[in-house]
Amino acid sequence: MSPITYADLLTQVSGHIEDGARRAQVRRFDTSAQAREALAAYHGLLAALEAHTWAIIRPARLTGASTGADPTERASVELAAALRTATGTQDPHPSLLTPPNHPWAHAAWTLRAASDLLAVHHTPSGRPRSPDAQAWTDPTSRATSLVQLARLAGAVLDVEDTLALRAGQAGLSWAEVSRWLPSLDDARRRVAAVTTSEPDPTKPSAFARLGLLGEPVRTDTPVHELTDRITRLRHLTWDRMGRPGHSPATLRDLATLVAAVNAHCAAHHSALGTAALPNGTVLIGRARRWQEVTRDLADYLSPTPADRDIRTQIRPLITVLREISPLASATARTDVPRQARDEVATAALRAALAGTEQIGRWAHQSFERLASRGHLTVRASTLDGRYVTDEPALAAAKLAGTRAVAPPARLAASLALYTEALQAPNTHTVHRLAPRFEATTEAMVIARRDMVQSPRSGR
Amino acid sequence: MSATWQEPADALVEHAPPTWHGLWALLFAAGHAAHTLALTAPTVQGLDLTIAAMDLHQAREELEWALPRVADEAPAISLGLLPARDDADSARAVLDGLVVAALDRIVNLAPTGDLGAPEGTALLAATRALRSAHTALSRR
Repeated sequence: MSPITYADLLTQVSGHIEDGARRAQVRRFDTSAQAREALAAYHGLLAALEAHTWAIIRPARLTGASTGADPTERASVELAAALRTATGTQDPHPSLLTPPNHPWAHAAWTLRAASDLLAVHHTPSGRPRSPDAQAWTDPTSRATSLVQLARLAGAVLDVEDTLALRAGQAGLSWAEVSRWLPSLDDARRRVAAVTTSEPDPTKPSAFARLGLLGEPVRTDTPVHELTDRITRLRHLTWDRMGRPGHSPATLRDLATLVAAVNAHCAAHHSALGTAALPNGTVLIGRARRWQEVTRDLADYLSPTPADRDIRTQIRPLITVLREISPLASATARTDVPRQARDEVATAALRAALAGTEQIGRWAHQSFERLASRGHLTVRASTLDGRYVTDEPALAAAKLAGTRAVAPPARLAASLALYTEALQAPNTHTVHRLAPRFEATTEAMVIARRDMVQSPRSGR
Repeated sequence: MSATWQEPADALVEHAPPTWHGLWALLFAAGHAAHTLALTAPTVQGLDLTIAAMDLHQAREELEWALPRVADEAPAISLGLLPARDDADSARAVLDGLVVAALDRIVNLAPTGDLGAPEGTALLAATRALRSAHTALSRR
């Protein structure tokens, strides 16, 4: 089973809203108790919609990513206020104190679960807790999500008249119906204001793929394991960026992983010629440059141990890459349709490539931070002449075989390798890095293999 | 045959003392050689060597974290560059020989009793990393 995402939860909310509306549409309530239950669920759903508006807006306001000037956001705040007028200010809302027993109550609980999912990505004061908190800094993503929420609110408000009629049929007085359902015309106007404020409501939102943090890694299939471990590693790398004790050993491990992901993606591309990945030559070039970063980082001393959590993810990742996209020929399994295997693996490798690109950037930033604070030391014996000339202290350390803080020129050379690895290669670079073979020959060497993809047992 | 690397590797294995310092010297040389070989091989074939280098560095660092002075006191010797005329497979075999020699050193250094002390834990972690390197180097 895939980890739940924000998009999954909103799809469930939409389904529950439709179920409730269909129920009210096709048959009357049998009893007044049923009618009151439906009305309470309806109220709870309106309250959940109001609360979710702030789950989207609040972190952006706390971090300063939003000033509240965006038209979609302003209209959404007004919609939330209109809903609150109808549902009241009781906290917690009564709907939270009873188990859901109506599709609208299920919709409300699922929407509040979506609010909780969004909340895990920031601390209460608005500080990011995950790299995915970046989604809140994108005004387009926020606007798209607010419009999506307004559409859900609109679907709920459309049922008001039907619900009022069914409540009357169940014997509730019109005074009571009016207490449950004060005129929601103002809320309906606000819905229209939100949904028309965004000229292109089909724009993708970064919120859609948000999930919970710290979900267990799935090991039922290689693709699931690859996806989940990359997600975990991405979070860990982001989380460790600012830590003063960050070890060069960890940065070296990460560079090795990025090289491996690019190399295995190159193997996959060469076997399938898929346009879904960058071409094999580009990927081979990137893998080579990350190998150079790995080699360079080996010269830096690691007085603090490597990050165990990160190291725990890297070893199995390399193993599962080998399983999904072997670099050598393998016997093809025929029990899973090949097209299905290829598409699933291609999507997972594409995501892994994107994930490790981010990992590489954050590792680069970590290196920069360590370098700027003078935390990177080397064995002076590894410094070649150009770094010690005109530096008597370094020359003495080199002769004595002792440690030294890495000089600026040495750090600059490392940063240059990182920069080169993070940029797209050109043809000159690819041919320079493969002295024994042409780049096209490399692609041919890895082209001859069949992809293997199969569920596992006993893991 | 890798004429360039065989002789210094043999000398290192013969003369490195049966101590943590000797083990560290073997691991330093092996890690350096793995990177050199990785960058002279085609990228795809070189990936196994890069991963072996990762393992070798991990093994060496386990020693350093358990016994910090070993990095300052042990000799940091490399096998040097690998000329284009040298056979890559032979160089790989020389490198694997260093890994096996390191494993042999650990067998003698590790306590016969409880491995739970810091030094025992470090040698255990180094064993795991070296066996992984040995597997990577054996892969063609």
